[in-house]
Amino acid sequence: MHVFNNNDLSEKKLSDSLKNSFEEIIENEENAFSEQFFFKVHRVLFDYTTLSQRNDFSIHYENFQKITDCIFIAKTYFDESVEEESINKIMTTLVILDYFSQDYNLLNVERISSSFKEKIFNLFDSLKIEIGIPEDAPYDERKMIEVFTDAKSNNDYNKVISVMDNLKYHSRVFDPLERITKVMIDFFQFIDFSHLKNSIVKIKNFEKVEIVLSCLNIIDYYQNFIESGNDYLIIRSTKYFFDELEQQYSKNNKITEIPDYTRFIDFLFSNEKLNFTTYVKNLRLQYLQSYNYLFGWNLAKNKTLLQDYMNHISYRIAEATAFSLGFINHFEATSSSLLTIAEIEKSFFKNEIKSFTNLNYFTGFLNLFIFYYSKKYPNREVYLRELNNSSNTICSIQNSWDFSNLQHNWIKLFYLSFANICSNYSFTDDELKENIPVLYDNRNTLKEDKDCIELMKMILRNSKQYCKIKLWDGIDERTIEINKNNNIN
Amino acid sequence: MNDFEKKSREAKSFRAKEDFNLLLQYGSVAFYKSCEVIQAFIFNSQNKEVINYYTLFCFSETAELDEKPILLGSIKLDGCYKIGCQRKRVSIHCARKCFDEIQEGALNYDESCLISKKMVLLSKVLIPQLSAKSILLREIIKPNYWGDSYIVEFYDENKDLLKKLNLSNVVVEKINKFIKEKINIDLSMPYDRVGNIIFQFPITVICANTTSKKNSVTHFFSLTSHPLITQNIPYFIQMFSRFDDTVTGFDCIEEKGPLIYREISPGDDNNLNTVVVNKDNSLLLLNSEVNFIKSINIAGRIGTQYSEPRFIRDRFGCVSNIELFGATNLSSIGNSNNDYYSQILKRNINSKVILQSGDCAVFKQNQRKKALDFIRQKIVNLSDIRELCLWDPYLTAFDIMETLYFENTGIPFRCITEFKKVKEIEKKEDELKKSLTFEDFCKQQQNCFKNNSNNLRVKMKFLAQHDIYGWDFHDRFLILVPQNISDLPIVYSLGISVNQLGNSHHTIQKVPDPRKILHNFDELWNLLDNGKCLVAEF
Repeated sequence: MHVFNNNDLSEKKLSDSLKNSFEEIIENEENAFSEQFFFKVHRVLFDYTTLSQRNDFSIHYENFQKITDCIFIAKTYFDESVEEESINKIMTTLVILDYFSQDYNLLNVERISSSFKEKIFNLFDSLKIEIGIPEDAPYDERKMIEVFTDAKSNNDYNKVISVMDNLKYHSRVFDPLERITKVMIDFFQFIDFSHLKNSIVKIKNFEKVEIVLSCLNIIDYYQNFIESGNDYLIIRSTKYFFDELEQQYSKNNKITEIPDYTRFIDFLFSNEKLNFTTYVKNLRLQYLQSYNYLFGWNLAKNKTLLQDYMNHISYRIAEATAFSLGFINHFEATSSSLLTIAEIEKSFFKNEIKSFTNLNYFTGFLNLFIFYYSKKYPNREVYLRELNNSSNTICSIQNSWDFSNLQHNWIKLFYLSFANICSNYSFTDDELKENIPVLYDNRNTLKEDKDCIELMKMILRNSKQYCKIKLWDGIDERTIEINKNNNIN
Repeated sequence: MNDFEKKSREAKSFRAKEDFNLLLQYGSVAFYKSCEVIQAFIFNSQNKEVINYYTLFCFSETAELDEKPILLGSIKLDGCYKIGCQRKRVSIHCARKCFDEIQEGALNYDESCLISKKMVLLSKVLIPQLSAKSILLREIIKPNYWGDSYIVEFYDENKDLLKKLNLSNVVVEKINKFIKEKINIDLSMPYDRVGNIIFQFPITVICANTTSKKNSVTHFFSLTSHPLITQNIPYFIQMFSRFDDTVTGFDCIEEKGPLIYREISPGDDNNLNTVVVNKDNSLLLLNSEVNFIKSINIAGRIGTQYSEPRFIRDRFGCVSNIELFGATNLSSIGNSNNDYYSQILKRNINSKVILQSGDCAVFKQNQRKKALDFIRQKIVNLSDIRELCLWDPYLTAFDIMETLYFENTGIPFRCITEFKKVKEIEKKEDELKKSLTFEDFCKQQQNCFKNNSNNLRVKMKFLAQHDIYGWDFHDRFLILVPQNISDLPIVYSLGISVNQLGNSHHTIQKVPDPRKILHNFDELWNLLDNGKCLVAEF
């Protein structure tokens, strides 16, 4: 892509037809912030250059001349707009530059007077976007608008969000408007960033919020939005913020270190007026690794928001792994941190482990639990006692009237044995036989997984320097490598 | 009681005592250290008598004993009676003593408890843990994690003590519910066991498992033994399969424990029965029957958000909105089309349906909603159904809308009514309608459909028997016609006209010979489907 500079744009004689076409649009079009205006300018540019927009056009001499003509005219209109305070002319400039993917360095924006700037921003502020449908629209579209209108009048943000998601992801209704808005926002950002931020935080119109958010680099604005007091903007922009983090920091289903944005989590959930917890499900944040990672980090600092996390906990592997990573990487050894994992562990065994779950159960929380058990049972004696308790519980359930909790306890024993990877104790066969008899009762090898029972014994004996273990949850599998130096990969 | 019966009882009782001793031998079926006594009893607060309602002595490998029984709960019954449940762990010695005392007509493991003087002692019975059929006796014993259980039972033949209490059916139901809640023993079905005392011997010496080698011919058999078993016990292992009331496979082996991992090849895998016998003492240690899951059929429906519903306004003006879905089955795993196995299996299932339909409901007065819901439930979430037929001499547009219109995937309907009889209802309602002609009736019904529903995705043909066309009929049926003609149709006899469903006493039940009904319906349909009997069509 060729970036034009002022040297390319020496004074030249322009084609009359090109100039006349632009003049006609500028004079006749009432609303320069419209889709119509945008496409008319595009049409003229296409007719003149025969190049489609944003194509990586090859700069042949003829093309180059034509493009130069267009950019020259854009610059001319900018100069005239500054003098005449003409919105249509400045919009023509912006659309032409956008068509050829040129930035605004060509323009001497210092020349824009404060009154003209005010005029442009006022126009942006007064811009209202409303979705309507024709009378003969199909039933489902009419129904959706009915739901949307109803939600808007009741400020039912959850319903607004679901309609917005529908429109954004399942139709192309916002596409043309997004293009125009993006052109404007990029320019506003160039001429006065702080003014733009102030304008955006005042937007109450749901449709406009959606379009504006689609055009921003959300990371630059999110702090301002959070502090704005504009509830809907905060809620909706949170989705955009975490989507952006997900794109930037999650690669191949693995999360990398994210900057410390835990203050945003604090703000969202501590703000009682916002009642953010009611929107998490609808925004589907619990399925984003970035969100889980930051929540893990936040809870490692303090457990204030534990209940908010538990309300939307995701046991899916990628998310649970992200949470565990966020937590472990920023773990501060306090009793409240351990209590946090204890709560998660309790919930995991209650809600996620079913009576038919395979003993060889791969979960994203595996690392977290191993980490937890190694901290919770800090010496050999206590650890062995816990293994013994777990074995006794299994025996007593096997002799009871109700076996529904049996699998929970087997999996607990499985994870507990894995904690030895961190703790690195060595137990003799006699010790294991006496304290964990269930591992030596051959009948259990038919009821549970024989290999898993052998694996538990092997890890507890701690006799091997290095081993590879394949874990699976029935669908996905994961290989973990263990060596004696406390490493799990 | 004749001589044969008397001798037979004596022999059984003698055998039962031998069985009791054999089963209690340390290591024969388990290594028992205690016995858990679970008892449901009736307490008379006037004379302080305690009467046995049901007692289970379950031997256990847990060593702990209880000094006193633990009362698990009690509730008041009619008059001066209470029902209570308690549990106590006693020693093996105490349980053995009780076994002897019961034969003398007394039960004193804790406080004295009245039992029937005429208890019949039955020899041991093996209750399998895994079986293709449900075993009622399993509901009244403790589940054994490791495998099957033996029982030796004292049968209360006269039930004289309980008869004296004169408990009503409602009270008995209340007692059984209470017992189920407190000790997870369900006496509501094996009610003949009330008053009995059972000694249960859970088998823990072995744990066995059969897995499929995925070729339906050979299976992998594994047996592991109790950790206390150190000798090599010889086992006889037999495997056979049954299908369509025939033996389709058989194989047996002899092998020594404590660990056995062997392939056994009976030749088939249907209703696979495995038997394990300890050759040293001839005790049957396992009798399991299993089947392998070979295919899974998943039915899914696709609908659109905010899609237009089918609305129905019933005769009282109440509007129901029916969300409509596509009728495609989304996926199925390993579902063979129509091979020899599926064909035999389908016929078997159909025969079972005929023998024990179990699908019936009785309605009394003022249960219209319940009756309509019963019908609607039968016609939603259907798969493999080609069309729905409704056959009722008093059938009108409202009846069809209140029933068949609740089907939400667009399955076609065929309906037949009888003009003469419908006219009778109209007459009752309005004397002026005496002169209602068939054409007027059709117009009226068509308007009714149009005015009270948007008829969205309704595919229906509604015919009426009148004048010389077809024949008079009386019964009312709902017919579900399957996609595959070799499958059996599902037919419900409504017992009353649709317009009267749930308004007076009637029974809706599955019909034992559905093909005949469908054939009959089709016969009449063909006579009426000539354009002269058409009431409405969408």
